[in-house]
Amino acid sequence: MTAALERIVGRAHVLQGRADLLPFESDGLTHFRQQPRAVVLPGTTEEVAEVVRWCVATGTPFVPRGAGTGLSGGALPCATGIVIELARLNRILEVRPRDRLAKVECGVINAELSTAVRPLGLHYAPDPSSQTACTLGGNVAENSGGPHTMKYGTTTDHIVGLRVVLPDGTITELGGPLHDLPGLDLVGTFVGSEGTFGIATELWVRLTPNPAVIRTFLFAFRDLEQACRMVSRIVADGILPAALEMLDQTTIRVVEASVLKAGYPVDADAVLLVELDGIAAQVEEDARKVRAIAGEFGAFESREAATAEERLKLWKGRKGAFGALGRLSPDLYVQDAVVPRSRLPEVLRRVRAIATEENLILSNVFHAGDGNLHPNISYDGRDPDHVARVLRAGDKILATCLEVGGSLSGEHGIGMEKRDSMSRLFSADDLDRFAQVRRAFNPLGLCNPDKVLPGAKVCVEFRHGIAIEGVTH
Amino acid sequence: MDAHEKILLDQRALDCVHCGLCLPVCPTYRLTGNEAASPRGRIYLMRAFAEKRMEPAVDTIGEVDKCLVCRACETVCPSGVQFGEMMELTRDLVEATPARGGFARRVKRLFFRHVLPHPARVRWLALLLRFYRESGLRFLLQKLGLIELFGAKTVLRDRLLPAIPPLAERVEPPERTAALGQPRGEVGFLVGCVAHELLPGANRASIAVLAENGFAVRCPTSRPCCGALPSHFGDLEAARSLARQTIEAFGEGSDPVVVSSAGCGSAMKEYGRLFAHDPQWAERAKRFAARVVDWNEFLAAKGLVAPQGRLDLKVAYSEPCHLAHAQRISAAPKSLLAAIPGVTLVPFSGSDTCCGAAGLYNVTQPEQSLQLLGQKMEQLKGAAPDLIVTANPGCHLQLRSGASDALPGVEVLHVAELLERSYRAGAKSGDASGAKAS
Repeated sequence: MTAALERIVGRAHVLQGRADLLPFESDGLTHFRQQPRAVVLPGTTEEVAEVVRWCVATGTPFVPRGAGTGLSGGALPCATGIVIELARLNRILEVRPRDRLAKVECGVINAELSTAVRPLGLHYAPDPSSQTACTLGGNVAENSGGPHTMKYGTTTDHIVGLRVVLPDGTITELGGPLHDLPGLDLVGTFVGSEGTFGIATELWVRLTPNPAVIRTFLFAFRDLEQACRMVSRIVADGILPAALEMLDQTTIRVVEASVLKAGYPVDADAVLLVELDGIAAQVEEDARKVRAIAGEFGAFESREAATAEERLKLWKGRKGAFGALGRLSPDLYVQDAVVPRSRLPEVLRRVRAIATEENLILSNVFHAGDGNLHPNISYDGRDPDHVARVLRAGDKILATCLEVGGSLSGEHGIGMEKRDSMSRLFSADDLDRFAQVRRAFNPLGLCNPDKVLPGAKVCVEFRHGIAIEGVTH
Repeated sequence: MDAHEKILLDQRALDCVHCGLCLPVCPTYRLTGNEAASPRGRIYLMRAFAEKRMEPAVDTIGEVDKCLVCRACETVCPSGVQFGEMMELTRDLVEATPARGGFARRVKRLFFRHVLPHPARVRWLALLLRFYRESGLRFLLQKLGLIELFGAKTVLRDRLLPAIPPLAERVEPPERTAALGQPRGEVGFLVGCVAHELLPGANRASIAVLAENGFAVRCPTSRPCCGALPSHFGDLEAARSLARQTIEAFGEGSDPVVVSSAGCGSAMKEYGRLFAHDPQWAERAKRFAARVVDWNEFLAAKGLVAPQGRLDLKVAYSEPCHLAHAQRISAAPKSLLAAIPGVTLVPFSGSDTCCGAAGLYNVTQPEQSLQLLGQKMEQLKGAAPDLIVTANPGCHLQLRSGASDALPGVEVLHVAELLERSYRAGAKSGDASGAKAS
């Protein structure tokens, strides 16, 4: 098997030693683990296509992978298959500043594109918290969001064209360096397909002009629910902040104990970060309103980042919070769900009650403006009872979110983690439609099998020997 | 590996939540795109060793050897994983298993346990290498194809073998150097083992600049080796033995121990950890470590006596990993350089990324080492400096070898050497103007 793959990508770029395969067994979600038979690291689109054709010829399942920062197990390998690791496809191919477009390979790291175009006064707007590590190809797969999704939209709003290796190994172009092409929106269909429709190797992305003015505020509250109410009020008053981000007390404290030290007040029950951007007069007006609202809702500290460094620190704390939570326990379960913004106070109260009930350490750090919750549970995966309680709590939290009219996932995707919960949100008919679309792209089912849609067989071992409820194996 | 160390490794590995933020700053991950060559992948492997999911064996320790231990991952880790410590413990564990071939292990042990502790033997080794390099023996061996017989063939053949200064240049620094001008205190100074033989100029300048700033400098005549190399390369026992010698050489006291080699300074600041489980030495090592201060850190904190000599130069500062990442000192050396009249610091991307020297990495992993050096040179070319400055002997030698190819005519100096030049130039022009006035 490996001889053929080595001929395509070169010997150095096929991994099959047991120590090399071991760390590929999980992505950012370590609850699942499964080693692949081999990992292939192609260096060009043509090599990707050849590897895929080999997979088709031999009936080998394949899983595309970027930086492995995903949190829903989307890059979890298949036991009988290979992983196609795309990190070497990391070139920025073309920048058209006047068209505000760039063509990049899929392995380019999100933040590095923004760094590269900064001298042109541009940036790439979607900014997931893992943006210093995650790849743009991975962002396309997951339709990633981020704090600035509030104003600027998610990945799908910023992709205009894709060069795709389809699951049969042919190379095709979807869309292109033009906005709003006629015909079916296949780019929109592909973005968010979680690696099940093929492998996007080159992307045409929109670049966004850097705003003239950016102002970032910190508001600290004694009560998380009050902070949530302030969020609803800001939106209700017609203000459109660039970002509205919430951190609860547990998160604040671990961030302050880490290298990130953002300067959040450790005695607060919640910190709300509000970023306003645009032209000076508008931002000034919004800032005045937001400050007044904060006073009304009882913020005990209101502060504006005085310098660019201070602003960066406030953001670094927010974006590194997930990693910082590693200080609390060996493992971390990151939940991702969306609820209507107005229901945030109630949902958070219920989520806290669930954690208390199961005797678990809970932390909340989330995109409040979008109602996109991330309740995180710290646990020790070596303790089966602990794991069982975490999974039960995770399930109850999800049920609560769905009950108030929310959704399964805001930005982390369905992947392997929530595959079997899909039927709680969608009818059998809906799921069947989804499967039909997928079959149109991926008729043999070799491309990232078993993910997103329920019903397929599972080719994965559960790390703790306990399956998430509803998963058969 | 002791039981408590195994537990420690286990606990350290558990700090990692697998977020992956370390990947983009890891030089070996950037070269390969391979998760197994990333900090997160290596932590995963080390945890597997500690939990006995996988045993250290010839086919599983490759990435343990290929890690630079540059610790760039620690600087970005939100979870505070002590990666360097984990890797040191793991390498020590690996050395004790059959995974490590007998010959390589014996050579390393010989060097760490029987050469490094004796300055005279280090000197003999340096002389031998100088003879090999300069006498034509290298040329002869190369012609005869005999070099292939040696394990470290690339190094022996290649430019990475540093030029070794003639014996005459390697003058022992005096045991005590008096302060110049207004006295501001007394400090101990680590002369070091290899640095003294290969880069005597950097030590001389470090001492001179301290004296210029009003500090009397004391150098123990036994010239101990701090043990950084064995602790990075899997021989913690040898490291402890050298550390004990070092602690004893400086004696009890409260005066600062100033170190101008980033790798040594980093190891010495971590002595407390090295002896954490040794009841006899734990306290003493901790006390000593608290006295250790990096040369740049020390002078920047004390306030520099302004150098007067103008040096119109564009200077690129290549940050040693063991200064920027292991000791988190980045602003201090830059502020010292900026204090020199006429010097312009030219920033370049990758200035805090490993140059591939990494202790003995250029000997053990010459291919990756040369790739990293090549990258560094490309980035430096973009900045087009007149001079490259660094603050660690390994980086110094590596950058010098790279620059001799890629940036001919561009000299590599220690921060102290450039400062000393400015002080000297200042003194000369001061003398000249003084003469005129009188």
